[in-house]
Amino acid sequence: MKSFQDIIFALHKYWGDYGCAVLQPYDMEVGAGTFSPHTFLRALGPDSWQAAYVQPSRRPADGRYGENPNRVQKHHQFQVVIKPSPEDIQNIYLKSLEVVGIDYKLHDIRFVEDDWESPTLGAAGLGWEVWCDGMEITQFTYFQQVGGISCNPVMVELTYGLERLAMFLQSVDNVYDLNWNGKEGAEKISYGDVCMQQEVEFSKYSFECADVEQLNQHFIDAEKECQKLASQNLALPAYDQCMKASHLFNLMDARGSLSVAERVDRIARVRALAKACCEAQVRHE
Amino acid sequence: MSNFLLEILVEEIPARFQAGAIAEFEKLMTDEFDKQKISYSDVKSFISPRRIVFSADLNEKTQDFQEEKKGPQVTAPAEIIERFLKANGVTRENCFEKTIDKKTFLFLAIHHAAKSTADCLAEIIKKSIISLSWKKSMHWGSHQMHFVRPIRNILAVFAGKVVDFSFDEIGLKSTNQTFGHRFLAPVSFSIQNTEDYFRKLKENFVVVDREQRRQIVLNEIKSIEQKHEISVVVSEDLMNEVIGLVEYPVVLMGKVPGKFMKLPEEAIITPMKVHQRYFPTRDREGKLAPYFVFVANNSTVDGGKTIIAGNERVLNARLADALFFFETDLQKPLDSHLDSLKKITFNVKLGSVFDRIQRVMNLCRFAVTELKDKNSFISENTEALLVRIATLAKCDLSTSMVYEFTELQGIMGAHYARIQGENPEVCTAIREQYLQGDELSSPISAFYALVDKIELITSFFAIGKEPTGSKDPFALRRAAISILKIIKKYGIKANLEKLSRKAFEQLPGNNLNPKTVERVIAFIMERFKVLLKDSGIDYDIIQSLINRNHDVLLIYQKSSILNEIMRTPKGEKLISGYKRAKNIIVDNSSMEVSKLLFSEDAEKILFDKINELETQLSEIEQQESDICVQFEKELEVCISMEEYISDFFDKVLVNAEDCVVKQNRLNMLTRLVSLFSKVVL
Repeated sequence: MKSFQDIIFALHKYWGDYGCAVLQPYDMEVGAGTFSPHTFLRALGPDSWQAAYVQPSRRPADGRYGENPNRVQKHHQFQVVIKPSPEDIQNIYLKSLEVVGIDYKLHDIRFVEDDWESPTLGAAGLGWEVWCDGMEITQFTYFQQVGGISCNPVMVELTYGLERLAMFLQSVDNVYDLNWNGKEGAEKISYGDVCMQQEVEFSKYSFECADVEQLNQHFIDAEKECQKLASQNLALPAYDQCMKASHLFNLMDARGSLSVAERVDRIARVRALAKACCEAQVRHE
Repeated sequence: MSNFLLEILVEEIPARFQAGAIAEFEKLMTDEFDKQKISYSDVKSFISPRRIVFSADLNEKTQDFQEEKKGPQVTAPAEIIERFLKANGVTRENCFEKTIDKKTFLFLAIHHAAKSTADCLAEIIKKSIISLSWKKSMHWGSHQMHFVRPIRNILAVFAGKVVDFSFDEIGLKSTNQTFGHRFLAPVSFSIQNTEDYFRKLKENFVVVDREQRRQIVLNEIKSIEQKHEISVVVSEDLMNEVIGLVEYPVVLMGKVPGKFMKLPEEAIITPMKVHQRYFPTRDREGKLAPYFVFVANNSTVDGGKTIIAGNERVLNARLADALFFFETDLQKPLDSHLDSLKKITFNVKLGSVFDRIQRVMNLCRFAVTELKDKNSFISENTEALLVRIATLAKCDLSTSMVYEFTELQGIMGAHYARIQGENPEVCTAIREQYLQGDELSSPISAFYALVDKIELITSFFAIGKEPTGSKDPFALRRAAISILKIIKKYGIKANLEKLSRKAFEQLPGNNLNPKTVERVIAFIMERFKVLLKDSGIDYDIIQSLINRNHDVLLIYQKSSILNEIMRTPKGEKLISGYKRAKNIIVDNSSMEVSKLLFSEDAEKILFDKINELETQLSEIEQQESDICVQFEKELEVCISMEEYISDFFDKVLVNAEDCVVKQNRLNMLTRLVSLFSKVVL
């Protein structure tokens, strides 16, 4: 049985050997591995790029106070991006599943259409959810557009949901029971040992305590700063502010402080920031 | 004839595109054969998630043919003729002349010699692949070409040899190789011809024929049904999707733990079908059975045990969620959600969902008072029922279950209402509120839906959100059609204008369109015209009926009576006579007729009959209280006029030389037309 960290080690090794730069998680709150500039901004422009990294991803609205066996407000994605997308990428990907312990003599893998779109990033791609015995374990996407700019060459993005993959591999029905370090008995560290407190406290924070007015002020500040920096062609610092705005939006959303119309408006504002950052990035090149 | 086989190996093609794509691809290929004069037979085409396959027997040589190419007129300026000759690399002597419609043109006879089919195939294949259209397509790698998903291999053989070409747009070279099933036989092998292809695919676990995959699945389902004494609920859509997700279908069955079976059926079926693509099952009595059937793409060494266990775990997790939501929702009465609906904005200008509920409730009260005298289904407790329905109808929008499974709106509300002991009529109305008009099962349910929809349309029109062109984000057209269908199905006598006016008056804000009610009625009537036309009613009849009044029920009744009568031979003649009269009088409006100016018998008789008609019509109007019976009688007497009108037109020339006589005749016809118009047209 592979522990949670074994899965990460195996994927690091596999994709590192393939030639990806194995990077560390981006040091900011993001909603998904896609948000990291290692993916988002690298999808633009003509240069080739290949990288793999774990990205802890925050979705405040998914918080369940540690009570739901399948849902957490902060989960871990394993992200692989390769540009241009290799001709044999499906097989290369399938080998990575074998490496983490999926035996094709026993399991049913399917590629089910799932076109990916991020309204806040103005990004879109075509691809699939990869199912293993009916469970979605990876999002497989060929980027077509980012920040409203067409991608050329095309980057392929593989996003493994690490919790799901691990639950599947360890045959565990509750995420908190996952074996994190691979030890047993007194030495065992479970997912719950690592993450339970954060799930409980952040759920309380997102749903009950976050100061809405302050969040709103932070949002406005980040928005302003992002626009200013983007106009000075400082793509990366500008994009940090865009990520901040996006996370603040997610918090306000989880707090239930946005009406439907306001929500639409905020999404449009974050998208405008993402677009400005992409344009600054393209001007770089 | 020689065998030709083409297989395009693609990364998984979305299931929903497959059937359309293969039909189009076959046509693209055969159209090209026709164009290039390649005769073909035994055309076959197949599609699987990874393969687009085309096969045919082709003549080795294209047929030679003569083309007559049309040039400029012989009288055209010299430089134009020169340009034509130059473009075709010929001289004036090579051309001949031909006259078409009195104009003489230069023509060029071009002989297309027979070519080797093998030489044409590469272009035909590339062109067909490039031309194949997809609703959504993409590019990949560094290639510019768009296709549904990346193409990974092109197998093309003709007469046992590779059709050799390179497809630079996607960086591929054609081969005589393909691959087997992704997991069961991931090896490559070479192919000679179609027969060879099918044999080897079978050996390598690929069923490339969609219909064959369907048959396999259906057969396996049948044996599962017999073995477990259940019936598997197979919907066409889901089946089409499932056979588009596998190359080697293996049908398996999983179990649902008993503890989940207390969930409402829909809450079990939705995750099964929508999220997991499983077929639900029912027992002998038709009750949902604790099994699900699904189709895997792999035949495993443990006979599918691991796959089943995995799928059961996924479904269990979803059902555990659903059960948690269900039980959480049940802890509070449905009414208690009203409070949270205050926080959900319905529309910035129209307020919260709660605000809207209050408006619908008021409108229900108003409608009951307004309609109770004319509609027998409205009784003393109707108002209370409707108010209760309006109170509860939208409450499920803030339940956890509907938050998670939006498609269960209405359905969950009805379950929760039933569980807390609401009147069955109330539950039915909650359940059916999002259905189309003719699907509603009780007059109360229909009445509520009618009021709800009038309010919906009126409020959006008032803030300027009318549907335009293809844009109808609030589904107002559907709502209008629903209203019309409800009125028809339950014979509801309702004055839509009054209801819309009341709905308008209670809207918040002061920036509302003052013409709202008129626009709403016109909008509904526009839908009505389309609806009636689709049911085969003559357009002129529809037009005239709708122009007269907006009583939907009356128009329905009249239009069906009229439509029937006007389709009899007499009715048809009457209409044509009427139209003739109407065309002749143009805009004449005088109806003064002098008997002294008549010279023909036919016109004298017609005039007498017109006078008789007038008397009869006013008698009918006074004596008949039932408006439909009245209408039928009026039509009858109009029809009896038919022979006199025909006779008049046969024997009398309206446009007499004497303009006084002519005017007299016109005035008589004007009177006739005006009488008819009062009845119907």
